[in-house]
Amino acid sequence: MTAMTSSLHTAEIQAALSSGVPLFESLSNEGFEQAITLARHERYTKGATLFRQGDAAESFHLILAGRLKVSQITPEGQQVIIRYLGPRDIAGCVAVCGGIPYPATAELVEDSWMLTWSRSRIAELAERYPELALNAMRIMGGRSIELQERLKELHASRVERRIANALGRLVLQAGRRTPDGIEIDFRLSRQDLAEMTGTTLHTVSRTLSAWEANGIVVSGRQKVTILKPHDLIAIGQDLPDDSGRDAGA
Amino acid sequence: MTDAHPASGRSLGPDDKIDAVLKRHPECTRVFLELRMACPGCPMARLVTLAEAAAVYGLAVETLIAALEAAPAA
Repeated sequence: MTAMTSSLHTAEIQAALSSGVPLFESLSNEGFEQAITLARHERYTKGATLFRQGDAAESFHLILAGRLKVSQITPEGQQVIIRYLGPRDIAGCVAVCGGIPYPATAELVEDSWMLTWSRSRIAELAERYPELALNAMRIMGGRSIELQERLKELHASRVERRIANALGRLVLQAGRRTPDGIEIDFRLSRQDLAEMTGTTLHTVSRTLSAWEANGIVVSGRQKVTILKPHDLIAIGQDLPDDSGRDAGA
Repeated sequence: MTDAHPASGRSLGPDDKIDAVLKRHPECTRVFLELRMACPGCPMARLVTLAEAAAVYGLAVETLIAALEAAPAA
């Protein structure tokens, strides 16, 4: 929260930022010097909050040293970590867009040094040096792609969990021991499983094939046998990995 | 099968099914929880033995059985 005045000198900052800073890529020397001159140099101590979800986005930051945790709070009060940011990363990008509140909270997890621009300062700079705006856009675009990737994984893992849980329920009703493992003792097609879990035949087939490759199940046309019951449950219940998933039963 | 535990009177074997053990001795639920085993309430518990569960969690079955036999009555 409280920023201390910097004792870092401009020369030191320039040296630290002379290369490999995505925000400053292809920026002219003049633009670079202007940007640094117009920034406030701030030091934050570990545990401080840089900005809070929902607050008006008044500042834009470039991290010189240290580390930030960016997180959101769900309506249930659970903290979800969006990402960690470190040296040469930017934080508070929405301040560049104007009018949008901070979508997340940023906390310092290490003592950190920042270059900070006010919203009007950074808007002014971006107008004069469009490379700054383009670079910020590129960075935000990259983060958006990363989030889309995570969303896709999250969705895929939810479907996988549903299929695992459906098999678990079927074992409860109709599981039977065989020399190989636990068999579901009735004719069960992949289409049946797709309908039980609200997904497609294709997804069920792909999921079962992946599990077969890991030795978790074997499945014939109308038959599913579970070779590693614990692994299947671990998928369905999202159990932590330390409970011996690799051992199987 | 070993001799019954002197305090609890329980006598369990490696081929006992987990669900059967828990039904007969509900006070054993705690032991699974303390060992961070996800067995209580698991749909597979009816068909999986103590030996198999111990193996999955990298535990000697004797250790698991000893803990289950020694569990204090609720």
